[in-house]
Amino acid sequence: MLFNSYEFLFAFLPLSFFIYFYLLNKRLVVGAKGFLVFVSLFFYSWWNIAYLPLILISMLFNYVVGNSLNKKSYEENQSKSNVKIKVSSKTLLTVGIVVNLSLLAYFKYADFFIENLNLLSGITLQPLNLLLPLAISFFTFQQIAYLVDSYRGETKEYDFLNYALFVTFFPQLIAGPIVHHKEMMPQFASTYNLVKKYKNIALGLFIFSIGLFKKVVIADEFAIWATNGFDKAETLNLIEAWATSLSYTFQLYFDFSGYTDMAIGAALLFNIKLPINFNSPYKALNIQDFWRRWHITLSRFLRDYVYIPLGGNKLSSFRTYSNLLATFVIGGLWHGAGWTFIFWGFLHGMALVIHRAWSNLGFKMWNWLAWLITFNFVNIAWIFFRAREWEDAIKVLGSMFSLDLTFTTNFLEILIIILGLIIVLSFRNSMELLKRKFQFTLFQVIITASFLFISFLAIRLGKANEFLYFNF
Amino acid sequence: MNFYILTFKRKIFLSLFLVLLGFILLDIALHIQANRMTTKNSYIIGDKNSQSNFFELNKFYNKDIIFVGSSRTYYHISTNIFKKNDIDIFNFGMSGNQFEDYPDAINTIIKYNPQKVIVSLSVNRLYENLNKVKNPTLIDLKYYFDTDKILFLDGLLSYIKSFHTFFTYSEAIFYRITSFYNKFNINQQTNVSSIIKNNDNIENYADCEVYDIKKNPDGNSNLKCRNGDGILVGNNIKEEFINKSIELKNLNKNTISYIINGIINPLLEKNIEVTIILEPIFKANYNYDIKEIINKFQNIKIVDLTQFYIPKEKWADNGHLNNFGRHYYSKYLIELYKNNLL
Repeated sequence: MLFNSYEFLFAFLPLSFFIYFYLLNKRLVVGAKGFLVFVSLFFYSWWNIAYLPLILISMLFNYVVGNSLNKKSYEENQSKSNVKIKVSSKTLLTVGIVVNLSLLAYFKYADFFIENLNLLSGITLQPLNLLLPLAISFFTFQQIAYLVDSYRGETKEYDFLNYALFVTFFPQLIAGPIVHHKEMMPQFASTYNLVKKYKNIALGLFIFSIGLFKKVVIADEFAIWATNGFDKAETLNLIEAWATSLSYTFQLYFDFSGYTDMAIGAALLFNIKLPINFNSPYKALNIQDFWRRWHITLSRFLRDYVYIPLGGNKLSSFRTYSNLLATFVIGGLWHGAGWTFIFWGFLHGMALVIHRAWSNLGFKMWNWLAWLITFNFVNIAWIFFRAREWEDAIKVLGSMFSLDLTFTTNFLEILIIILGLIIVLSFRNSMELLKRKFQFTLFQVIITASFLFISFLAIRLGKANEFLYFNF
Repeated sequence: MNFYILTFKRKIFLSLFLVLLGFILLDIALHIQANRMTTKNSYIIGDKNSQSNFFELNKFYNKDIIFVGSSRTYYHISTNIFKKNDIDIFNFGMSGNQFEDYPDAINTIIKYNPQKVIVSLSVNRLYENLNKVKNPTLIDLKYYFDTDKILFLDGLLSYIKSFHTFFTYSEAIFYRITSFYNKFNINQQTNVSSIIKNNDNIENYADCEVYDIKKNPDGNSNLKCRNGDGILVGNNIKEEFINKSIELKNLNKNTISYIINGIINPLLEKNIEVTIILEPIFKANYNYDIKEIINKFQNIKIVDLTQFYIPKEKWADNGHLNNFGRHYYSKYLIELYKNNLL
């Protein structure tokens, strides 16, 4: 079910909300939470019921392993080495991580591996052509983090219902933010969150309306031009190529941040605060700054569970650089099983290495130039992220630096791209509202109503496009 | 009242009320605009109510023939060619509609006492289940109820939705937005209307007074006439489809019952002659038993034109004739009518 579908907006979300609080009102706390897990699984199964057993098995397996790790960690601390533990925590953690990664590898990367093996060895293994389970990368990463923290003794013994809610809670289930058990579990367990809070509902509605507008009115418009340039046009002139790449740059931002806004807004209706995932990333003045603003929860995961375990910046400069590069190549691979994704990750890793070296050498740059370089680098790197084939990427990139100055682009398209740039650079982002005291002023009420109204019209007028990040 | 003393709860209701108010105002505006666009000289193409209102506003009593059908009637029948042959007809073809929509049209038509009603449909549909209707009316629903309860429920939902006028006109609005966007294209595609105006040769394309010309996404031009006809100009045939023979077996009971009860019987009860044309299909390769079809429909004439050959250049696309094909087809129907075969 899409957040921007009428079924979600007019049936699923209001019904879930009212029934959840009705059950809580009747003091049926377990029933209410169970209901929320049930509707979340229903939401997940809406695309394809075949996905359901996988997420259930994954959830159950990680809960059992996590709890065992948690107990072992406690026992190990208590008894030091006096008590012999049959299976060490490290082995259990390794098994847990291997099983999770194997699941991801099997469903997401097997065909990519077979394809490359065929290419290298000349043999012809048949691809598995498996149906990629929805959001598998998200719930796998989320649960790996849980296992690692259980091993470190940083988790408590949660009950299964709260754990199931942590994994399946529908606002964040499909495309994040990648939530951490430390920020979610206390919220699910808190009795303070079991009553309807109109301030949260108002804020949730306001943020949801902004996200919906970003997605269906802005991102879907840019998507048409990006698709035309990348997938349909055989050749592009210079202006068309720039319009194509910028359209995708803005599409991705408005689509993904719009989705996150909707997730945060929907979660707030249930008194759950999801972490911030975007903070005006295109205002970044360097690539490190960009990754502190773009998909913040993924950056946090990669830092805590890949970069730091690899040694982070505690070893030699060379190791720091290679750790950075490896982390971002893994990040690229997480986004998709393809060489273009890996190359995109590599480009970002290299940019971070160069930025670190530049900073270590104490060089400075004018802010406007720093922004120009960062923005254009990100824009160009997205070409590899978006292109289905290398040829498409080369087509767009080559045309961006061609001398074909023919002007054939629609004036309105140019105007909207310029408007998009102005919005991402000069407007405050929706997440800044979460930091301030929220009043729901008359202006905000009118904005909420207008955004909802225009978005509902736009949904009907356009085809409901799936969010880009569902594929990852 | 100071806005800041309103509680969050009231502000939430206010914002949702504003959304609802927006929709109500939009619906009222669209309703008024739709009424304004339905006059004695024009109606909204594809809108059943608008077409019926157009028919009623003109009080088309005692016509020789009324053609009822889908876009394949709307674009295929030339009122003026019939007129030149002293046959007074009305083209009740409805673009975007299918035979499941016809009961409503029939209900309007029977009030005006035509001599003959000719209903066009594709032969394959007689073997298929009933389809959902996009915008059913209460009349359509009545026959749905008698024939298929599931479709009735689905139709009822669509009927309720149709009270939200925006739903009905959203496609038209979308095309207007697209058309507005295309005005900003640097390389404007050649506009047929300008060709027509510049060359002053409208009669080559239309035999009626044209009041609207649009470019379809496939490149064909779509002309609307004040007398209720539509004309497609262009030739955009796609021949790559597999031309394998399709066996049509077992007439669908529900479909036949719907046609008999919803379309044929109301006309026969008013002593109006009924003919069913099995309409021409480009490169039709259906195998079926026409006798079985004739046996199912008593007291009416069946004219099977499924395999009627119309040259490729007379088709606008795989489903519709262009201006040349329309002329050719109308002439052929006139011959049939004069020979009492229609």
